[in-house]
Formats: sequence, C-alpha cells, structure tokens
Amino acid sequence: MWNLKKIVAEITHAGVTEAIAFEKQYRLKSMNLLCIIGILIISPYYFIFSMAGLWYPVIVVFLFHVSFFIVIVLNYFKYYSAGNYLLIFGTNMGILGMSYFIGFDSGFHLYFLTGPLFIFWIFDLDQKKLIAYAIALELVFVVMVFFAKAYTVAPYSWEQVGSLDIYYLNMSFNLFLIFLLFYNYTKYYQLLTDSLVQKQERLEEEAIKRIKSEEYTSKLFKDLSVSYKNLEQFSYIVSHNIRSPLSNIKGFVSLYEANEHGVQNDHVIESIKESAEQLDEIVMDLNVLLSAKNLLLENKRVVSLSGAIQNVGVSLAAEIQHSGAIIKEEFERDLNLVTIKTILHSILFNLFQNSIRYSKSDRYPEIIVTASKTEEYTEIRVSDNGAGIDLEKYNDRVFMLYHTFGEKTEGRGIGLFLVRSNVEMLGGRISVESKINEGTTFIIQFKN
Amino acid sequence: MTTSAKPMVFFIDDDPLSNKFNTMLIRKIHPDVEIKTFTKAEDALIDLKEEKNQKPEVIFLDLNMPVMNGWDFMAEFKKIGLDIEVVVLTSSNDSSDKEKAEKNDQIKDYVVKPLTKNAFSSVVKKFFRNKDDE
Repeated sequence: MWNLKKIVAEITHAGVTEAIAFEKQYRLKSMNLLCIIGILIISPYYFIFSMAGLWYPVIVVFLFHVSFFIVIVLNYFKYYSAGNYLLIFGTNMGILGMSYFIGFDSGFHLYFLTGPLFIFWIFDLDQKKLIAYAIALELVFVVMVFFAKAYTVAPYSWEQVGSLDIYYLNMSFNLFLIFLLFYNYTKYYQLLTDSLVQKQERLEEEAIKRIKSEEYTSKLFKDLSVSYKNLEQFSYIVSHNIRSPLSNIKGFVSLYEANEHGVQNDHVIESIKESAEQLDEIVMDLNVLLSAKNLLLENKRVVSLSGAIQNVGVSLAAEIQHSGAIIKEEFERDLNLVTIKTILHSILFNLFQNSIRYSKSDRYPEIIVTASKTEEYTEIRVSDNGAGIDLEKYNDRVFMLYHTFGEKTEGRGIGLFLVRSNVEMLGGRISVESKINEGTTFIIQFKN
Repeated sequence: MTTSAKPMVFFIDDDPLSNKFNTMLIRKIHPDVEIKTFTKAEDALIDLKEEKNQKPEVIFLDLNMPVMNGWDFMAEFKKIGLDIEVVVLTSSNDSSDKEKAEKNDQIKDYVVKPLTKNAFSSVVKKFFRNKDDE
C-alpha cells in the first residue's frame, strides 16, 4: 500500500523542477533526501529517550523533525535559501542541544562532521577539500576525546551505559553522514564532468559548424567568381556575336535606302533575312547556355559512370552509327559517382560529340573513357584519336565560348564552353591534353 | 606594286554576310577600288606572302574569328614585314580590344561595324593620300 520508494522520490523532488541549474537541482535533491533520512534516523531516539524517561530530549528530537520537515516545505515553495539556513541553523542547534544530554564528545562528533556539509551547501566549496577537512576535524576530535578520557579520574559508570548506547547510535549516524558526503561528492562530480564533456562537445560542434560555414562561404565566393567570369564572357559575346548580325542588318538597311535599283535591293533584303536568322540562332544558343544553370536545382545522387556513358551513346546513336565511332570503357564496372545526372550526361555528350565531329577522315573515331577513384578525387579521362588541338596556340581559348579550332567549322564553339561550365557547376575542374593529328584527352576531376 | 593598278583593300572576316555587305558598300561609293575578301585569316596571309600578288593599300581585319583570330593574324603579319595599313573592323566595342589595338603600331584605326560611307571615306583620305598625290 505504501510505496516508500515513490514517496521518498517525490519528497526529494520538492521544488526541484523549478530550479534551473542542474547543480542547484542536485543540491536540492540531496538536501531533501538528507532531511528525510534525518527524520527516519532520529525517530528511534523517541523510544530511547522516552524509555529512559528523558522528556526534554524527546522535545529536542521533535524539534529536529519539525525543522527537517519545514526545510522540505520551504524547498517545495521555492524558498531555497531559507531552507538552506534553517537546515544549517536548526541542525546545528539541535546537535548542540542533544550534545548537552548525550555528552558533548559524541555531540561534537556530529557537529564537526555535519558542519562542513552545510558549509558546502552555502558556499559551494570544492567537495574534496571539504571531506578532507571533515576527516581531519574528526581525527582531531578523537584525539581530544582520548586525552579527555585519559585525564578524567572517573571512568564510565554503569549509569552511562545508556548514553554509551546512544554514542554508538551517534557513530552509526556519523558513518551514514560520511557515506552521504561521499555519495554526494561522486554524484555531483559525475554530473559536473558530464556537463563539462557536454559543454566541450557543444563547443566542438560549434567549431565544426563554423569551419563548415567558412568552407561554405569560400565555396560560395569561388562559385560567385566563376559566375562572374562566365557573366563577363557573356557580355563579351553579347557585344560581339549579337552585335555582329545586328550591324550587318544596320549596314544592309543603309544600302537599301541609298539604292535606286530594284535588283540590288533584292540582294539586300535576302542578306537582312540571313542576318536575322543568324541573330536568332545566337539568341537560341544563349538560351541553351542559360538554361544549363537550372540543372543545378536537381538533386545529387549515385550515378553509374557506365550507365551514363550508355545513355549518351543512345542520345548520339545517329552520329555514332554514321561515323562508325567506337566508345570503349576502361574502368571498373561498378564505378559510381555522386553527382547530378543531367549535368554529367551533358558533359559526356558534348565531349563525345566533339570527338566524333573532329575525327580524322582516314580512321574511325575511337573514344576511350578511363576513370579512377582516389580518396580525394574521381578522375575521368575522355580520349579520342581525332584531329587534336594545337594547344600551344589555343591553350587559353579551348574552353571559351564561340571559339573553334579545327579545319572543320561544323561546331559553333559552344560545346566545350558548356562542358567547362558544367564541370565547374559540379565543383570539378577540367584540363586538356592534345597532339595534332593524334588525338585529344580531356581530364575531369571531381572532388569526392 | 604597280601604280597603274586600281587601289586594293582586303576584308578579313569569318562572317560571309559582313564581307558581302562591305563589298556592296564599297562597290557603290568607290567603284574604282579593288576588293578581296577572306573568311579565313590564314588564306589572307598566304595571299600576302605570294610576291606576284598585288598588295592592298588597307586591310580591314575582324578580331573575333575561329582558328586564327585578328590578333593571331597581326602576329603573323608582322613577320612578313609588309608596310600595309591595318584597320580593325569589328562588332566588338569592348574597351580592352580598343586598348589592345591602340598599342599595336600597325593598326591605324578601329572601326566598329557596320562600315559606313563616312568611315570608309576618312580611311581612304588617310591612307590613299599618297596614291592621290601621284
């Protein structure tokens, strides 16, 4: 019927939830617990004193009980410091009062042992020092009692046996208090260390977060400067490639106005039409380039390189068949990349298309894809046996928009620009090795 | 160079439409000027290197061209050592291109497309003067 454990637990929690700091919470708990145990431990004294007919000490024990009880009530109503002082004051007065009846030697035992415990509560002292202090005082007291007894003429008489019993009871109480001190100490220390470890973990977490945000910022800055470079190139294109047909139109129009003969005018109109078509084509190119940026909105996922190559092969089926091109995969079958599929497809598509377009007419185009994975990078090499690029001449222009290099001018100078911006979008980098008439190798590195 | 021949100008531009327009314009305003157009700068170089070919008075040069661009052409042209005026005729009004052209001794003028009657006349006045004096 009486769940003692539960009742004790509930009483010890009096006022605890409201105390915020865990140290305070813990101190409150042990304070409440001490009061309960104090009440229980002192209870037998009612019997002992009443059996002996000592009614005055019974009242002292009762006051002891009441003060313990009041401490718990005060804690419950959040008067923490009042509880603290009452416990210290009440207990000390109680012990002094009891000492008067049971003999000051054992009374002081209690006093010296419990005193430091309360000092700890008030001043929040280091518990190690406190225990050392308590034990030292105990030893001093034992020595004092020893000498006092040695020089006392009269030894203990039978009348004092009763009080001797009380002395042993006191000793058990003392031992319990020592136990409580140690218990307190280890528990408190445990909590303190836990909180320190937690604090450190929190700090570490924060540091990692900070480093990550710094990395993010520098990545953002890099992305931004790449975008800026791209934008600069864009404005250059706008200034040249869009202005080029426009200025033609402007020129032809001026010829039309100055011209009286109908025959020449037909030429002029035809040329204006052609220029307009050129302009349209360029604007469409720009559209393609701009829409490529939207690909970044897709999520990264695990993509099989071999699968991606196969997909590109399907997209380029007509050109592959027409040219008789062969695509060889020289890497581990199960090589995977964590990437944006559409962008990888676009990169491989443009590289393969270039290889086929700029192949040598005396041999079938052969594209070899090799790939390797190190801890840091995944490297993909796309090599062909095509016409090659004169890198000494065009080194800085290979990846630029509207630059073509071969004798064949089938290409419009968009592919490699798109490839580079795609690779950069994925945070990778691309470089090129080439020998005229032997072939070209594009090396792409993605950070893992 | 024979003085009896008609004065000649080169147009080097990868865009055939531009060449077509320039030809039409000059035929109209200066019918007595001979015109040669090249869509590849390399071809113009080959033509210039050939000794028996008539040398132009002025070369109109585009800057943005595939394979060999205007600057590449200028580097090669310098090696030939011919004393011919070069006028940049481009659709780029980019300031960096203009600065680069100003620094190049052989480039005498920078004209933004399209070429106009006035622009061509002023070029003619500047560089055909010797011819007129004779």
